[in-house]
Amino acid sequence: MITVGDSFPQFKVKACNGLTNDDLTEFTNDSFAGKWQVYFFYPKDFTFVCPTEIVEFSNNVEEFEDRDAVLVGGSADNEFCHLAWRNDHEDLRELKIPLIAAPKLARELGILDPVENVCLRATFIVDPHGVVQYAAANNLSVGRNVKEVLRILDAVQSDELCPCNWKKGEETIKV
Amino acid sequence: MEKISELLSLLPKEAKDLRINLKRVLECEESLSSEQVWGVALAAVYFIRQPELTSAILEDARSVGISEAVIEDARGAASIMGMNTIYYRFRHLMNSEAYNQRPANLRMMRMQQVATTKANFELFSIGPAALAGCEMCLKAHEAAVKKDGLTEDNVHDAVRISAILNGVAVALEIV
Repeated sequence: MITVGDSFPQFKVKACNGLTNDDLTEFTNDSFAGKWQVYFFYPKDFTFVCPTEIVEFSNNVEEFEDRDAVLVGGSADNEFCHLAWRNDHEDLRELKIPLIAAPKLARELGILDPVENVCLRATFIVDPHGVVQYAAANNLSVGRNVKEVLRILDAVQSDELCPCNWKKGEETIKV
Repeated sequence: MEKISELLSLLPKEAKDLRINLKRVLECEESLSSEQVWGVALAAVYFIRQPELTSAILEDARSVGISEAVIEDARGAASIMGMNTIYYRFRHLMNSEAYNQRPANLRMMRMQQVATTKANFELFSIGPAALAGCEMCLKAHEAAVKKDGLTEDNVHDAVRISAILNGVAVALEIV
C-alpha cells in the first residue's frame, strides 16, 4: 500500500459529480493542483455502511475547504454506477463531493481487498506537491470518523512556519 | 488621506506630534514603497484594534489604490501575529525544554500562502512583533525580513510607522 512520503500515483479517472449525465466528468492529478487532497475509498456502491460515511464526509466539506483541501470519494465501481446510486439513495442526492471510478488507481494504491477485489476503507491525505502525508486503511466493515480525518489534516498542516519559532542555540532562523 | 486627516483633527492638542508624524510617514517620505507603507500601517492598526483608526487607514489605503492583495496580507500577518506573539512569547519567556519540545500544533498556513510576496508578509509582521514587545519574535522577524532581501532602513521605517499608529490610538482614547 502506498504510504507516507510516497508520491500519489498519476491518475486519470472518470467521476460522477451530481445527478445527471452532464455531471459525469474526469479528474487527473492536475485537477487539484496547488490544493491539499483527501481521498477516501469505500468498498461498494449500493451498500449500507457506505452512504453514512460518505454523507458524513460531505456534510463536513466546508471544514475541508477551509483547510484548502479537496475531498474526493471513490470505489472500484464505474461512474455510471455512482450516478445510479446517487439517484437511487435519498441521502446521496445532496452530496457535495465527487465520487471517482477508480479500479486502476485503487490497485496502484494497493488498497484492493485480495478476496473481495473491492476497495478497503482507505484514506489518503496528499499535500499540494502530490506527496502522501497520511495513509490508513480499515477493513471492509469498519467505518471512519470524519472528525479524526480533520484532526489529522490539521496536524499535518500545522508546521511551525513562523520565524518566532526560534529556539535558543539555533544558529539559523527557520523561515 | 482624507479619512485620516479627519480623524487626526480630533486628536487633543497635546498629541500634535503624533498628528504630524503620521501624516509624514503616510506620505511615503520613507524607504518603503507606497504599497509597503500602507501594508505595514494596516497590519499595525489591525493589531492595535482601535476601530476608528482601522477604518480610516483602510479607507485611505483603498483610495490611494492599494490592492486587495496587500490588504489581505496585512490581515493575515496581523491575525497570525496576534496568535504567535502570545504563543511563542510564552515559549521564549518560559525558556523550558518541556514546552520547546512540544509541537505547537497551531495552524499558520497563511504565512506560506501570501497574496503579495513573502518579503511583504514578513515586513507586515514586524510591526505586530514590535507592538507585542517580544524580543525574540522581533529578532527572528527582523532576520527573516533581511533574508528576504529588505534592508534595515525598511525595518526601521516599518517599526516607526507602527509605533506612531500606536501613539495615535492612545491619543484617540484620551478624553
